[in-house]
Amino acid sequence: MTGAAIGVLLVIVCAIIEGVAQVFLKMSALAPERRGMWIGAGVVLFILQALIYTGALRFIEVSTAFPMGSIGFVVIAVLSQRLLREPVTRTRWTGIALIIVGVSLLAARA
Amino acid sequence: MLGSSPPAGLVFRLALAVVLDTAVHILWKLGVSELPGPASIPAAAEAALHQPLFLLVATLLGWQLINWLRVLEGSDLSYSQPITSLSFISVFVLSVLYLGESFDALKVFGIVCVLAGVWFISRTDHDSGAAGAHRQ
Repeated sequence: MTGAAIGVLLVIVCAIIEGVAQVFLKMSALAPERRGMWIGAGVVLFILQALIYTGALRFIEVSTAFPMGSIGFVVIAVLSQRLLREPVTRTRWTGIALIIVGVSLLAARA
Repeated sequence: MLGSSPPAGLVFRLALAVVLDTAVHILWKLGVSELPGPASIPAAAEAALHQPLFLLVATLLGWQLINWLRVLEGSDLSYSQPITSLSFISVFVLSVLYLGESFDALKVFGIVCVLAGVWFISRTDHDSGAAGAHRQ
């Protein structure tokens, strides 16, 4: 596996972790009685993500790594809809799809 | 409420999130580039602890977290998170200008797609906090 492939793989893992962490943070806003627990869990995931992202940046450029994090949008949209019951309309899905296309082009040419 | 404007406070916090996101990623890359060569994760983590840029990144990440929690208190996660993708553009521009990373027409097209996506999302409804009352 090349260094670039390792970097890309690490960024994908980071995006998934961030998606879950963001849902935890939103849970902290929705459930004040367990705010500390959700924030704590989110912070732990963010620290883990930071370590992995630091490793990813050793292999690929930041202009590649950062846009690829948009995979997290898909994770967030699915988790927000399923777990938080947030409305994700067709228009919003279209926007998310356009962002993913855009950042994929950026990542492909970086 | 479709297409209504978000509150000014939310707009400010989203703009701050973009600025912080941009600063964090540019400084993070600069910090990584100054780390010694290939090493184990513990060794790299120890080296990072002695790198002032990482301390600055950690501080900005803390500020970013506090700001982001306030954003989430007043909006849907699936609405706010994509808006902060504007920092993809600012990070890209700064990485080209200051880090010497690559730049071409396809990348510009990619940026246009990102902007179009953000525009689409900004056309959808947002949860201003009070909306949480009707969510069971």
